[in-house]
Amino acid sequence: MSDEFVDEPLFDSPAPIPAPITKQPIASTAQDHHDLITKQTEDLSISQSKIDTLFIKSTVSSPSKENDGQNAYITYLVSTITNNPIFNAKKFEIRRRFSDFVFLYDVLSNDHPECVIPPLPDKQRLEYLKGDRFSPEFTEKRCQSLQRFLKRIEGHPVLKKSKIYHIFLESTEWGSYKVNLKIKSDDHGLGSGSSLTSDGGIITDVFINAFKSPNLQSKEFIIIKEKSEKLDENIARIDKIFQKIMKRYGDLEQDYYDFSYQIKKIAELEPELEIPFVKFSEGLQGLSLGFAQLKQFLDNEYLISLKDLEHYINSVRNLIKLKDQKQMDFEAISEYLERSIHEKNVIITGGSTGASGFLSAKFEELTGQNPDLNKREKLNKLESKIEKLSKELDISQKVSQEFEKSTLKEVNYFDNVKSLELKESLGKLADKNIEFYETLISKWEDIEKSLA
Amino acid sequence: MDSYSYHEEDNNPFSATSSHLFNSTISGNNNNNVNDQEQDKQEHTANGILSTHSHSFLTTESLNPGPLFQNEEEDNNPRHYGYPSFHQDSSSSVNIFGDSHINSSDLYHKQTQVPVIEAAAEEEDHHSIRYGLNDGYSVPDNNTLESTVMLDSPSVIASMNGDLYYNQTAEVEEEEQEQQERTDYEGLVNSRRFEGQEEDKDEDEDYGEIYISEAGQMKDMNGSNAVMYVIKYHSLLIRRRYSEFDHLRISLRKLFPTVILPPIPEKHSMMNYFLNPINAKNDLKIINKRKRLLTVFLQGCLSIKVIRDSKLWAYFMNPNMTWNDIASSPPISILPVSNLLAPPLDPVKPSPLHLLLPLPQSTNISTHNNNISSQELEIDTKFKDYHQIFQIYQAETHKLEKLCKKQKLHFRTFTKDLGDLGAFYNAFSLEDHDRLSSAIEKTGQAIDINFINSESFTFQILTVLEEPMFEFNQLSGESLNVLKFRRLKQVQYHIINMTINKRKSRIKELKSAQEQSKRLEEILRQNASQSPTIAAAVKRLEQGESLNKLRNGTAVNSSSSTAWRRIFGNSANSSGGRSGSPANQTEITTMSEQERQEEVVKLEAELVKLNECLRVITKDLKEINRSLSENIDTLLLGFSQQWKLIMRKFTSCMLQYLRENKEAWVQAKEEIDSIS
Repeated sequence: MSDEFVDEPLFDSPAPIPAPITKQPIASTAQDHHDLITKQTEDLSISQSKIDTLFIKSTVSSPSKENDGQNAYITYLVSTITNNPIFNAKKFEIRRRFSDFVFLYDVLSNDHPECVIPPLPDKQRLEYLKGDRFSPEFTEKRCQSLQRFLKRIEGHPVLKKSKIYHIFLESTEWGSYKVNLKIKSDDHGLGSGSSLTSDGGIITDVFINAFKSPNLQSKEFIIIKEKSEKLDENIARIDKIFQKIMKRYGDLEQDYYDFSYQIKKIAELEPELEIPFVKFSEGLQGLSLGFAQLKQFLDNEYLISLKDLEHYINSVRNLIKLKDQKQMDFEAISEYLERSIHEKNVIITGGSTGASGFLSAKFEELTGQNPDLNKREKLNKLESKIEKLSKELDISQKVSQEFEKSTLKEVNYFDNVKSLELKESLGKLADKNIEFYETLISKWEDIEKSLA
Repeated sequence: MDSYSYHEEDNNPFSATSSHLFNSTISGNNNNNVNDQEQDKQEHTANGILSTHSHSFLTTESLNPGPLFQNEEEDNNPRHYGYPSFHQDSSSSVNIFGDSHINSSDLYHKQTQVPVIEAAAEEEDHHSIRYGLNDGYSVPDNNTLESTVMLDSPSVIASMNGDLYYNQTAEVEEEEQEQQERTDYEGLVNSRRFEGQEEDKDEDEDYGEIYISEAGQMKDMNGSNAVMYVIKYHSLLIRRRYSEFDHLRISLRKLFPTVILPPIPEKHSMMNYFLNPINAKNDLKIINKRKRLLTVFLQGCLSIKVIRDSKLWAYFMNPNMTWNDIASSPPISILPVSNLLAPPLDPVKPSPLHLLLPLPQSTNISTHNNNISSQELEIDTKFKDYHQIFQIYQAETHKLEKLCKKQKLHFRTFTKDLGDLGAFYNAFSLEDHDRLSSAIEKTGQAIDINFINSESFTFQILTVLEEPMFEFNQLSGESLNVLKFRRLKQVQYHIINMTINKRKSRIKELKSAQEQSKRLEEILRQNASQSPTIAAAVKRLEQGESLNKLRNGTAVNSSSSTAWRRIFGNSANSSGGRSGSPANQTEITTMSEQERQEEVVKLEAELVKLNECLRVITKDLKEINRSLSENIDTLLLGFSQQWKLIMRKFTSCMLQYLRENKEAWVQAKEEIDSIS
């Protein structure tokens, strides 16, 4: 089934057809593994009934720095628990670096252009310029994003069956596997930045069609688009407000730290009240600490989860754009076909095709060409063209329809993931807040007792 | 600023406006008390210190039929669910007039059950809009609302009386926050009063309660418009301006120089006028702040016996005396020019001797050359310690006050962001998110509740921390002032003491010079008979002396105009080394016998007076020491108690804040977890 999407419609027409979307070279890379994957899928289909109960659960943790100096990089520990029999073990761990994730992403996006591949965190981040990319703060944040990436694949009905994903999780020979693949992709000028190029490809396509939109938008997709836009907007706004609140937490942290210190000084003036003062001061310090922790939570977890979700939404929107493109392909072909049919009809009826038709007929007369012969030649040409076009139209319609279907599936899947992730992040936010308040309540209840 | 203006009809609630409202209530045969319910809900809603006072306050608030004042800025602040707001419920104010017709003394003793009428449908709508979004606060939909309200709190009645008496003369319709401030303020007054009463029991004294019950634009006794503060004291209601409080305090300071006076709020600085041009909101803020701090001032004054028992206090608490009357009658009109020239404990009864005392210019006079008794030294070090304590207190509380301001500011911006966030989550939940929307909504609600709590917490930082820090700071400053007064009196004492010593040694010098010159004369006389040159020299000496005498005379006349300078001026400024002293030194040997005799007589007469002065000042100093150390000890004890109180109050505010927020989050979490 994936072939249909990977293969470029064989169509060379003078009409302005949008540039190819999936690049041939990548497709060939994908082809190489296609057998493997299909085999895998077949294996799995045997135990189809079991599939729902099969799970893969990975965590990404313990970033550590390998090598020193110029070639230093960070590896992350990917630990997996699974009951899926295609793995050799039920529990295994492996160290992977960020570029490995990127590689996985690239292969997945080549193999499954019809799917939304969960996005990876930006590589181009300020930390690279600042040279902070080895800071624990940065790597911890990245850990979470990478784990979220794996989790999204885990849950994806298609991607979770991808061989490359399984190899990524378990294989100790990942290195050689990768090198082999890399050589091939390098042949086609696809280095480590392949994800960027493919992204770039999409972007240029989109740019070309920036002012176009498919004529026949299904209502469903209009709603989906609106929703995803709105969601993107909302997440961005919540993100922005939380950034502010994070800053406030920082301010309050400092304020209560200072205040606590100052209260301790007063304790020296009121020796009889020393114990309550010290307690009170500790309580304020606890408040300061609590704000610090909330701030840290927002910074390290909550905002990251929002950012990751934003990325995901963008990927979905890109897929929808891709779907539009397929539809536009179809529309362009059908338009061209219509024109050809129209032209044919004109020739058959021999009717005046307006001033230009009259002039061209006159011109043919003057040059002594046989108009009938010409007409037949033209008709033949047109007929073969129409035939070809009709075939293409069928194909492209199929492609477009299939793509639309799969996009809908993806959108549905995304909706699920989004709900799950939002639920999780909201739950965590609530938990952290409850924790903050509970810790402080017990602390201040203590103080209340000591003041009584 | 229409609402600021004075409404004639407002002054009498039983006149035209109200009576028809009253009739309408009666015709319904029942009173609707949705309004009181609202307040109950308000109490549940948010804030920290709440008291039954909020009833009367908010109740009378909604009485005001005057034009509504609303703050635009606040209205822009998004609020999405049941945060009660009353100012537009003109219909719900109906019932209150009904209540107020019941004899208040009856109400005082028995719990009056107020009957209920059918609520106007319009009102119902209002409520359902207000509360509809929040389950906790929603009003049942049926039109007949059965509810009773107990009016059993004396304070409700008391302040209702007060409010009706002055009836919101220019009560500005306040926005929600302001309303909250008011209820908080009431709570504050209540609790401070409560503390006061506790202390009363200890002292076995009951001097009643005092607070500012009302403030705003109203007519003063001369009929001109001004911002007035209504003091509620026993059954009295006294209207005073801020400036009169200021004058009172200045006069009290002169009247009781050894008493550490409670502070009053600061004047507006010119700078503030430029930075925050006067507008309704600022004015209201300042008025409310003054209301709180003036209440604290009055309570402080009341707790000081000498003030409580003073004539000035009685005058100030007399509603029939204008400030002009007070200022032109005895205690103020006969205040001494300087407290240093008056008895410290009763400055309005100065003895003539007090007027003779020196006026020291600075406290920096060296006392080391004076022999100080060990007892005196001990007292001195004690006061030096006090001085140091208050200096530290002043510095540290100043820092604390600044820190409070900062945290308040940060909390305020934090609150604003929370408001935005809550609003946004609520909007977010309204968009179709199938199963998530209820979780998002609950989260939004939790944030909203945090927002409301933070808002009241911000206010509590102001009243529970910042303002008491200001009081600490001011009291420390005041104590330093009083200590400085003692120090000046001490300097006075030393000047007198030194002058006495000077005079004594001068007499001694004169007497010994007399004897010496007698001997010298004897010899000279013997020699002069033999030598004309010596005789000529003696004559020259006599001439020169008369010149000196002339000069001396002018020196005395040129000294300053105080009594002390006039009388003891030539040597009073002993350390200054003025021309008088060296001249005197050279004089002695050249003075005639008669002149010396005259000076000794004069000096001895001065000594008598100086000794009397010394006696007065010694007594003064003793009195000051006693009174001051008493006052300071009380103050420091009060400081400790105040600290305890502040910590206790802040802790309970904090706990309430934490608990309510936690509760909101727990509910949100439950909702989130319930999503499959």
